[in-house]
Amino acid sequence: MTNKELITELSERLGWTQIKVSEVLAETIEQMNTKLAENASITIPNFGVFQTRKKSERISVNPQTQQRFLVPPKISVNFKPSTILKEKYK
Amino acid sequence: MQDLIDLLTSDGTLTKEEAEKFVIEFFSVIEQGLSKDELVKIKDFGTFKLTPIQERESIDVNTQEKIIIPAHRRVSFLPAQILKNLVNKPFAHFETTPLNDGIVLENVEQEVAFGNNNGEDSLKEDDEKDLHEDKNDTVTFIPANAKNDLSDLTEKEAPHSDQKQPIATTTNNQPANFDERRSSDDKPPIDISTESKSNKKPKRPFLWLYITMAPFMILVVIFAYNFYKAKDHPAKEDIEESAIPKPIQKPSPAILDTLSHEPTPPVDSVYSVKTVKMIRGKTLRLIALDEFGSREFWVYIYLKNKDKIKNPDVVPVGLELVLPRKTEYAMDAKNPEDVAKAKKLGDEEMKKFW
Repeated sequence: MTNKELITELSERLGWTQIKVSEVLAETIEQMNTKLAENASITIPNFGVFQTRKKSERISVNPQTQQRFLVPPKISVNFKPSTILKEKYK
Repeated sequence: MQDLIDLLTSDGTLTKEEAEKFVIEFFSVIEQGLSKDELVKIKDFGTFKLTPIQERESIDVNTQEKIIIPAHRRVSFLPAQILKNLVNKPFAHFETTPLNDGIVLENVEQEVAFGNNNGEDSLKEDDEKDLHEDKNDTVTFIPANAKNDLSDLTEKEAPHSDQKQPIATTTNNQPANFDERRSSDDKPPIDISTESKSNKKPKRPFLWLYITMAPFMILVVIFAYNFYKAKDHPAKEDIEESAIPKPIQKPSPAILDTLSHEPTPPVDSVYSVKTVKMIRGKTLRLIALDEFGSREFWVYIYLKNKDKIKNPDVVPVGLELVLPRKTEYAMDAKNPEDVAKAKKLGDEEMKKFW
């Protein structure tokens, strides 16, 4: 399902125009992204939790050249599906 | 979720009911899309996917019986590049850098020691670092790969320090605790070691040796510290002291090198221009950010204080830094050209310390 199909489906379900849906969708995504950028977690009941996780820096080795690299730490987004969602697709 | 609804209604175009309905429908459509196509793409956010997982054997935690976990599917989420970048913003200026051999990372300025694996003996690293500190006393040394502004790194690291390998923690935490006891008014420094994915094999004997040695070391260090304090060396309060001979550690050229990098002692300056005192946890970049609005302008502070700072990565605590006047250099944080120029200059300066 692509972004377009998502908007179509949503507009059918809500009875809104596609323009309105795409605007609200963009707004929602933006708000969620800002929240995540603030390292806040977003909990959606019966769906899951979006969280940020810090990955500490590590040293990786190129197996061919044996050259070692210091990979910097980074923060990444993690989604943990709720048990209900997990069960549903088992 | 309630927050999300509130945020959506805050700009006034949606009523609360609409926003709530939208959010509920949004996620239920994602679920529907997942069951239909096993894949839902959302622009600027990410992709939800159902990934198949093969069946595998496992052991029941309670009954110790072998069980087979049947094949199933798991919902996975891949954040879009735009979201990845947004979230990773605090660390965005780091780059992956190649490491040279035998490098020991240290940062006495904050008294946060950085682990750096020599490939195979990560376990003794942390202790080794302490030893270097002991040996060199006031010496600090940050090698080539410190380009990433380690002191910066450590600040952000600190709250997360317990994400280490359990083994490393046992050896590490002890010096940290000790520091805590010692400096009750200061923020407790925390030792951090890089996680070593690259370990060929952990050296068990060393681990046990170090675990048993750790309490002795702590005792000796406490003793040495008290002794030190009695002699009252005000300028050196940040340095670990102890003089145990270290049997396992072979001084590498890198360590000997550190001797030549001794930081200059704090200089009392009587300048009419603005000065900033180096405090624990500050870096040139942070000062530049505070004073001039961009971290890249640190190089100008460095240039202004070149006679006092031997290595811009190692600035002794308590050092008075003279800040350049804003008119002295092109320092407009809003002007990308100035920033780029400063960055280039900074990179060139840093190269001298590689």
